[in-house]
Amino acid sequence: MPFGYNGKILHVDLTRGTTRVEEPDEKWYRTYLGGTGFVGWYLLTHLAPGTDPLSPENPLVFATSVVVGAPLSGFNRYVVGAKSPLSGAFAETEAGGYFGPELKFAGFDALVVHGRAERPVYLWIRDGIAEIRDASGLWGLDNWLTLERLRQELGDPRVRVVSIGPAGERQVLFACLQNDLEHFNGRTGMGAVMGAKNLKAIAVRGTGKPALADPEKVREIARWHNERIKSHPPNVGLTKYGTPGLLKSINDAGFLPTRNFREGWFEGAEALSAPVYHETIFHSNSTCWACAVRCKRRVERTEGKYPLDRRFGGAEYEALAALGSMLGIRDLAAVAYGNQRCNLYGLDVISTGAVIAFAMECFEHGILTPADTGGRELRWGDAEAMIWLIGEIAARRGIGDTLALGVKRAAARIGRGAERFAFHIKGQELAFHDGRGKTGMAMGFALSPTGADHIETPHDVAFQGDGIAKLFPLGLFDPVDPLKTDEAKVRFFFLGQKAWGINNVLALCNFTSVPIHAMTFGRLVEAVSAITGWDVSLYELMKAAERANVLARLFNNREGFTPADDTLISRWFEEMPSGPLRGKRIDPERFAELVRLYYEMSGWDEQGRPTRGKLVELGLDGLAGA
Amino acid sequence: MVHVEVRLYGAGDRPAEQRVALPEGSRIRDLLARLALPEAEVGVVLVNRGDASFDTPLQEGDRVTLIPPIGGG
Repeated sequence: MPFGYNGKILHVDLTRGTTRVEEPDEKWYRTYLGGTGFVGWYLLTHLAPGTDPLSPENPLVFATSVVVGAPLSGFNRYVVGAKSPLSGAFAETEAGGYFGPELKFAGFDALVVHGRAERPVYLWIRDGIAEIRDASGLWGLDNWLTLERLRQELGDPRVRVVSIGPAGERQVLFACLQNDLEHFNGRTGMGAVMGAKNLKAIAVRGTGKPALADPEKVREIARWHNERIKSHPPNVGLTKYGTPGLLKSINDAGFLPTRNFREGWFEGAEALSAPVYHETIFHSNSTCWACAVRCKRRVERTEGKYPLDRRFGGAEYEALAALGSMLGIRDLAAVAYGNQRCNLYGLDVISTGAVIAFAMECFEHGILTPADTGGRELRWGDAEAMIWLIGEIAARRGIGDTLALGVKRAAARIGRGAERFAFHIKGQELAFHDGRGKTGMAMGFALSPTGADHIETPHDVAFQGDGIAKLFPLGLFDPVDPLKTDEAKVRFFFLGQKAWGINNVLALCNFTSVPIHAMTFGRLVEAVSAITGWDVSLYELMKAAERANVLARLFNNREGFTPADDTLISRWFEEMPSGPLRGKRIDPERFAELVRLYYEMSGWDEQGRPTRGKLVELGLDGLAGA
Repeated sequence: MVHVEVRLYGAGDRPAEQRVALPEGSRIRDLLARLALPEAEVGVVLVNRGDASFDTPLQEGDRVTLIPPIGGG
């Protein structure tokens, strides 16, 4: 009997209307562990190269892991993956909340959705039984009404629901998935893939629980971890202010993306900062399954133009930057309201803010004019224009239909030199961290298989000076300088990526886990061993993270991505014009040289293809041509 | 009194370094109050290269590293 997991993967074929249960062996589970490992394996083995991401052949994978659902803070996430309709590359996007553990309690470690339903449907998964149900009455509804109706229909307020909103139904290429209105698989356009399958929602209820190999040990680690969360400084900050607490420090450091990455310091940041958030719109903390950090925000505002409902997740740091500094908007209530509209419609707030910033900069340069916008002005700082555009994008109306394609394709459709202002990596819009202020994170943007991704590696800044002590267990002993682009930075990135990659294969929350937050490397290894009964090592976990990354790389190589795609945006090769990082830039030739060094370190050839030696080492040689 | 050496980091330039004298029995929390630094504006705290909390007591000659929370979100 397996410990920690069920040994069962649910496959649903929407074209045929059938379900089946796969029972992989223990070796498969221990090799891939879960999360990005499972996604990589299914994409490489179940999808032919060159497939249209919005076709029925693109499998949509929901993966927990061998440890999700164990009663430890942060052991509660799930990863959704497919081929991305936004980028054409490997897609994976994580979310917390309650859905991941509930899927495990219902008897499944992962769900793979194949095909396309003829009419709108939803899935109802309950204690080992899966049913495809009619969703024609739900199609067209926003995420809020979908959740309410489903809970009513199923007669159980504890049903956990993942759904798409109208943006996913209309296949906005950066549509997201939500669960319980507060948690989002935001990036890479998985909402469009779900919409293309005519799959409106997935409802789950489970009353079982995979057995733990050493329950007493797991409880002891959980007590230690939760106690440490109460006093460990980065966790204390997250409990008090959540991710909005990052905004002030990021602005003070000079890398808060402002007006479409033109600047790194926003003069209106104070108005968006955590103390103002706390005093004006904050209602209460919220959390994910069994997590003591409670970093999520509920917001409420009953008066004024921008009402906020506490049932929706409050704006996180990325939303404040997306709809605030990126657009030059300093009205916190408007920004939070824009975030709520994105949640209602099911739009990734990062890509949404980025395409609106792109549109505003195009407007400033006369590339877009009132003739393109139905007479509307799109000016920096105009909150009403931001809120209007969110609605137009979700509805795919007018200019919104063009922006719904993401900046890369929108620029191609607009022409007139618009691509100068379309900032993306591998076709995905950037999250809001200026790489000129943390070059290791910039390497993550360039080398993440999903395109610009700010959680590919822990950010350099935490490992300055004595902060490097947090990475001693990886054999890194020299302090990191966030502004340097050198060989030492590649080594930091290479190892940091594998360390954070553990969190993605195990579907753990970075805000509870290694290397910055309350979990330590040693105790994480103990926890995984106590849950699964396997005598795991840090080496084994990092190798599993590397394996998942190589699976994604193989996938992208097969889809035609090349070293030319492993780069940064042009603005970061130019000097920062203002703020504390004024004059800082990344040298493009030096950066390309260091990307090649990373390939070498990884056992990839000069074309960025994993060598046969690397594939044999990772046990992936049989999959290379899959 | 105890004397501690404080290194306060920003975005990668050299840290602001200072020597601070505090009453015996002071903790990290007292040091932050002295520096007028709100707890929520501190991400990583180390004393002599070891993880520390706001309650960690300070000893003569301790080296304290303070780094703001500027990670991902």
